[in-house]
Amino acid sequence: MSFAKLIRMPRFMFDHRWTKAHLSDEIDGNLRPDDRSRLRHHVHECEKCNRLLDSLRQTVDALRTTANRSKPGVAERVIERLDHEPVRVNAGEGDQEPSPAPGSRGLP
Amino acid sequence: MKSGFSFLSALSTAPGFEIALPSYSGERSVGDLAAVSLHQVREQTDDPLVLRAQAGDRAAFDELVRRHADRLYGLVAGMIGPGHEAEEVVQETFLRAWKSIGRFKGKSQFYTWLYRIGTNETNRRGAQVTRQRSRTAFSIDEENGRELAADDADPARSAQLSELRQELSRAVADLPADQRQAIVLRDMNGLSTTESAEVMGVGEAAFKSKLHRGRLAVRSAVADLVEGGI
Repeated sequence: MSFAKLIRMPRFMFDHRWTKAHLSDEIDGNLRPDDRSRLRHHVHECEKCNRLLDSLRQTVDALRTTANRSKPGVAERVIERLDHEPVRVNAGEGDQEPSPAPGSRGLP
Repeated sequence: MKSGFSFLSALSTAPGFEIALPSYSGERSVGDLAAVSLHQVREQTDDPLVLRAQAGDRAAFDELVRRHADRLYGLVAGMIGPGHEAEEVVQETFLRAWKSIGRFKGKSQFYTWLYRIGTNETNRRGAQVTRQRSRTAFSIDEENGRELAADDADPARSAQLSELRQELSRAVADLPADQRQAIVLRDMNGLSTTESAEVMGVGEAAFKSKLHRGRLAVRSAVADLVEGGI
């Protein structure tokens, strides 16, 4: 290993861990430009991270094309049950509306 | 760097894997994919129906049920597996939504609020559902995957697609509940990070962490298939 590579190693390992933790952000387009550049620079240099990003992206793409199938008549059976178990609209009880999650930036 | 991914394109063109969904008013046949697309859900505002339902108009609420029941079922089925229990969760969710719709203030989308109720109901029941039961339930989808893959003209490709589908189902079913929910909401149902975090009741940073850990675990489970280039 050359001296130049040796002195760059700590930075490389630091970026290696950081990159692995941010691969999903890269896939989802959630990285800021400077972080995106940092990640892509490392992935270009690191074959291991390159392969991991590639296979993680393929896995996510496969999940995105996989939808759970519905059962026929689900809505109709819900309506039927509402007919048989009438409940009065009551503003004083029931489920709270979800408040924006801490750290969320509001709906897109 | 490996490129030229083939298994995804194979999946996306396999019968039953495409997300070609019926319109709200369209006739639905047995086996149609879950509900309507999220794009359609977002395009059509629920506000007028919600206002009428809040005034006690059951017909308006019934229309909300028709719009969202199939999609909610798909979401719940992704979390606990398809079948009777998932449908029970959907029914309980709408009963609770009808009962408490007066408290919905419109700060979030109606479907986000509904999914939050559904997720809570899933979690409430999930405490009683063992992982083994979840895996058993997911195996129903695996059967379905075999049927779908069997439609493919190339038997070898059909077998590979079926294997991938089964491995994905198993890997998602084996995840801890919070990671599984994150993947079901974000990847399998297309909610944004913000929406998914709201539905789960966690901050965005926590949600991203769950999602990433779940994805890495699923990737490990299907790595041979992905890197083998099905």
